[in-house]
Amino acid sequence: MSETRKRFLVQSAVAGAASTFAFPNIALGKGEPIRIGTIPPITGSNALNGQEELEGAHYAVEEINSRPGKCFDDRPVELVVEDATNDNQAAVGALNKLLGENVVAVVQPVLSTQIQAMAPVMKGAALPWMTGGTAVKNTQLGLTNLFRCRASDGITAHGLVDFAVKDKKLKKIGILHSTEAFGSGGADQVEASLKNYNMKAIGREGFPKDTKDFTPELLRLKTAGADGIVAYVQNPSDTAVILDQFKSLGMNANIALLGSPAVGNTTALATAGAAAEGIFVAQDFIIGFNSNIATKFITTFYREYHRQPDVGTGQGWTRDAFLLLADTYRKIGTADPAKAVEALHKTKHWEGVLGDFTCDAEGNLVHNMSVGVVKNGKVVLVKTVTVSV
Amino acid sequence: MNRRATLVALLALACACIPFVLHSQYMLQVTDTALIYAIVVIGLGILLGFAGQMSLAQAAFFGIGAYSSAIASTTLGLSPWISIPFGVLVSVAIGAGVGYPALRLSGHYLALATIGFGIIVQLVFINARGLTNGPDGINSIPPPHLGTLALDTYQTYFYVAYGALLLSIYIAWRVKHSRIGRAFEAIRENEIAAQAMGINVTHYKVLAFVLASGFGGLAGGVIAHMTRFISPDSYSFDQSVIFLVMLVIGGSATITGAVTGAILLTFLPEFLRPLKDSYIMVYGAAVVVMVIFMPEGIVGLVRRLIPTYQTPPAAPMRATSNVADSA
Amino acid sequence: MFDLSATLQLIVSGLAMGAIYALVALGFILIYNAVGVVNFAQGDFVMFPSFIAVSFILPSVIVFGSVMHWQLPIIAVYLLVLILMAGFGLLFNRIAYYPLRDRGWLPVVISTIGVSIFLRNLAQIVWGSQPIVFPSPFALQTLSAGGLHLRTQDLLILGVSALLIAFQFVLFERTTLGKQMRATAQDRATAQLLGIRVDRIVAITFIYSVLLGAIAGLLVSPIFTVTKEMGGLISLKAFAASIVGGFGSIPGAIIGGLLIGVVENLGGYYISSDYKDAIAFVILIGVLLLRPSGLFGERVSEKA
Repeated sequence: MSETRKRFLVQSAVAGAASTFAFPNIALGKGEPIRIGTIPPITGSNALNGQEELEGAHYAVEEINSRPGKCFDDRPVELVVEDATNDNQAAVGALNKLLGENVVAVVQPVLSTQIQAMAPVMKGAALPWMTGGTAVKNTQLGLTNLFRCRASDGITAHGLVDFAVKDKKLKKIGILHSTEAFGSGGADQVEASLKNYNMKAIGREGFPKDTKDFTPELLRLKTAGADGIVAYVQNPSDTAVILDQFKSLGMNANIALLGSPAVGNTTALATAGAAAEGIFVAQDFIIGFNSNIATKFITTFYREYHRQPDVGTGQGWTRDAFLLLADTYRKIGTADPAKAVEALHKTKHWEGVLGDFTCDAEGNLVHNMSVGVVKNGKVVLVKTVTVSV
Repeated sequence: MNRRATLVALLALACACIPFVLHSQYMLQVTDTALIYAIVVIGLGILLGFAGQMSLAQAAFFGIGAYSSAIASTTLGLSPWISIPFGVLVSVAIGAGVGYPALRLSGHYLALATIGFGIIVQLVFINARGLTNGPDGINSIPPPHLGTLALDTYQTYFYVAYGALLLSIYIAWRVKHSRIGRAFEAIRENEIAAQAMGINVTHYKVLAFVLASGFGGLAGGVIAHMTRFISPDSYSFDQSVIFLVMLVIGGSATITGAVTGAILLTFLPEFLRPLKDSYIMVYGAAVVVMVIFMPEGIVGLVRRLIPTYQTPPAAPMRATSNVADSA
Repeated sequence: MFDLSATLQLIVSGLAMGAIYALVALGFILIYNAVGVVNFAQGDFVMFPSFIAVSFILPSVIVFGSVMHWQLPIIAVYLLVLILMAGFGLLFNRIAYYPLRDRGWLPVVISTIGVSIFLRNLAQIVWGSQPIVFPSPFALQTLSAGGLHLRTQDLLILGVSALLIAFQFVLFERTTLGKQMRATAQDRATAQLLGIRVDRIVAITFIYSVLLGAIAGLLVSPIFTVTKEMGGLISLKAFAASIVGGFGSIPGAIIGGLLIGVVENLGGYYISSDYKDAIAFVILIGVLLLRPSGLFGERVSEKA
């Protein structure tokens, strides 16, 4: 967090203020900016995630506007920002406000509950809606304009379970999850994936967010004889305490811990420190960034912000969402929402930081994930999993 | 008195025209939400402002009404016109259930019991997945219909919210100016004296809870069919605190205060969006300042400044205390 | 199925968490006894000093979006935090309580709610939303004996809490100041008549209570991460603990806190971990209905 953060917040404020004097002309001509809206949770309990995504948005807009032809026809992208907070009502309010400011597409939210809350409004608005929520049901709400720019929980859970059963040969797998939407949904997906192997979880322990002592949950799984625990945890503080207690209870000696994507993000690992050594994490992108695009993103971002970006859950997917929109507009030569939605459905093998983007019938764009292990505080690739579309 | 009634009627009529004047979807949504929150706060105002019983569980009743109506209309297929009153009934039943044990408590004990109740209710919303669908919430809640017209825009739904609010104001007003209202006031001032005067304190305390839970439940049902998606995170202790703050800032002794506080504190965050992070901090500081300098809330302050509208001085916010403070 | 080793482990870690609840509850009770008011911001008195402490312990910290290097030696930091929080306690007394002291308990409760909201969001503005790791002065090791594992920090928590409770006892029973504090808490008017400078004693009580919160924060931060929400649920559970123990009773607050910590863990293991947070409140409601005076409290009765 630095001067750049302040600068961009000011920029957002200015953009937001300026956008109230909306451009009247919808038939956008040459040179006219393309207004894309975004509603990250900048304040509230998901502020950390929201601010990362705001950074990703600014990064993406810069990337687009500094390439030849900008978005297309020399037209720049203009970012319009509203704060979704963590309250569903306020989030829908932010969306409505955004929609009143003549945007042609919306990027966000990441929270599946906010996505569901906004669905009725976005259905009517019929703009391309690039979301980052991983709950499987998000793409089953009956909206044709909703696109998921990350691997769903179905995919990451499947990959994680696959690794646990086939590679690590674990036989008695337990589930630990936070009881909010992400955790519960993830736990459901893990159970569904286990069924594919004719297995059942030997225990499923839920905990409310901000739990301070995980002794009961961990011990229950230990008593049930777990040789592996899949943990679906969203909050970095919870992750840190879980990993710490897992170690201090001596459970890391003969139980494998496999974490959901958020467990492996930079903040969580930094917070957990040494306790994270040796745990496996699912990541909803290909670890190791062996693609040019991914490597370029990481290094450029680091150069500008002096920090590692969060590829799966923060800056990375946001950047991909914007770039995909921009490239789609360029391909069809217009920013018309209806045509863009149609074109987005035809996305095939577009390369983003997260990997290959190919659109399926439900609007899912990303179908790969990878499993890594934490070594020396960094996630090292162990296996990639791609689900065929 | 007649002049006042006419003014009120004119104001009500003017407000009814809002959807024709306001075209922004955003502003209409915020307005509809504000009207619904006003219903919740009126309920709290009856319990706390009139009867002096502290409750930090209003969000729980808001949630009970919302979930009951949502479940009834999605799984049982009932029309919202039926499921919303059903939500009120469920809420009232639970409110009475809470009201009885609450009798023996007052002051901090009551406050904490209601906090505990609220937290437990939210945990049930989150964990009773078979009933409430858990943290994923309930979506595809149907909008109400008038014949073939679906009331699914903020513009049309305004009238549903507005109608519910007018009904609530009317009921609250009737309660206030009746024996019930006077009994509440007596209990608020001094429970033991009230009992000595022959007021059945038990009966009225439960009634106060029932009214508060009823209004909360009504508001919950109404909002569920507007947002058409509900999830447990909206019904937290923090939300109960927000409702309390709305009441205190508006003015706890009057219905006008409750409505003013709700509307003001629903719109304010929207206007202060540019302040981003600092907004809530300012809000917290404002609460402290207001409680110190404006104990009767905004409405109390206005009333003191405009002599025409002075009613006999409402008691400033004080609730029965069980601290033996004989100083 | 009863599992002895698990149960013992649960009790042991439950006691550590319970000690934190006890410290926070103690802070509550002191203020309540002195001025008849419940302080909803007590948990934030755990959170805020933790942020301050961590800003000076870490080699670098992000404050208002910029990186600062304020590292000081640990002892200096602890002293600094205690002094700052004492000052804060004074301020809190003056701003949130003193102007409202004759207006009954509700305005003060609301005022403390306002302070709580203010503090939490001030923390977010100053330090951002990233959870901050609080390094422990003792390496975070675990002691294991007979299948039981206790983190050294847990041991520290239990040790320091015991010391504080002993200190509390000595203060209240053996020193003049302590007796004055008790007298003021019991009957202000009479205390005033006896020449005790009541307002001063009240201010001191506030300061002491805030310091208790600060110490609890310093003890517990190395185990959790420092976030603006860290005080929230702790505060409510400590509140519940003090009622279970008997509102107004100091030993009650301590026993109540420890009890809730242990029962939460046992309940989370034997009954349900999903509903773990509810346990403290179910106990609370049960106690309120069956025996409102709690375990050690005085009979609850209202004066006319």
